Amino acid sequence: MLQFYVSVSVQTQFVVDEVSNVIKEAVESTIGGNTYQQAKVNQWASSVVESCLGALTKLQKPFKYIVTSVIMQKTGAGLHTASSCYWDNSTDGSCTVRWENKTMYCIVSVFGLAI
Amino acid sequence: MPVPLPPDDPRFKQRVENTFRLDPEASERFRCGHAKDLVQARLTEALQGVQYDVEQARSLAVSIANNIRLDLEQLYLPRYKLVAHVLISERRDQGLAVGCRFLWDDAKDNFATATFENQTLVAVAAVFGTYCE
Repeated sequence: MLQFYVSVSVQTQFVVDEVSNVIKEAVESTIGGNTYQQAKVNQWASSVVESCLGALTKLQKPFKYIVTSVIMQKTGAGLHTASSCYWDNSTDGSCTVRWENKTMYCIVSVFGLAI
Repeated sequence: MPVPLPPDDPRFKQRVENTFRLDPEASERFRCGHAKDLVQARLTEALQGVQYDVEQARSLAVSIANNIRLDLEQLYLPRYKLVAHVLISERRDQGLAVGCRFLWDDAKDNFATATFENQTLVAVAAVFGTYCE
């Protein structure tokens, strides 16, 4: 009788550090030196997500990605995010990066689900 | 030479017949409308009449996310992986923009979102379902 073993290699595992670096670079390059502007914030949120996704695609890993970004003006308000997942712990993972400058916070969450 | 595992070993996987199916059945798909109703119901039920409080919001966000995920698990969605994401923000006249994008199979994977607002807080909840082949 044959037994099937699923081997989890680095290629099929969600590597948090790598993804975290990718996101930080993407956010920095998209909204790096900008001040919060109401008129542009929607476009920024979209472009941050787009550039993150583009950079993640370049990693050429067999993953489906979900990227969410939140851009919030700094006025002293509180913000909480939480996520709950039903997936395969050995292959899937998530990474949340918190970036800020003088006028705004940007929180990007990436969920990677193995194919 | 690999040694066969005993059936009570946690790594033992039962051999299952090949279904030769690539897509989920029509009744087993992730339905946005239904999921959206569930998400909205959980959000409203948890935050109705609640004032923003730092400690409470932290635990509320986690419990809402867990409840949404458990609700979706009750629906019969075999081979679907679920991610529930909740955001709660205090209202202090600040600007807030939330965006999300996906790299997945549009035919099989889908998502649902819901929002809730009151005098002191804003909450956005989303649940994503991806089909695992």
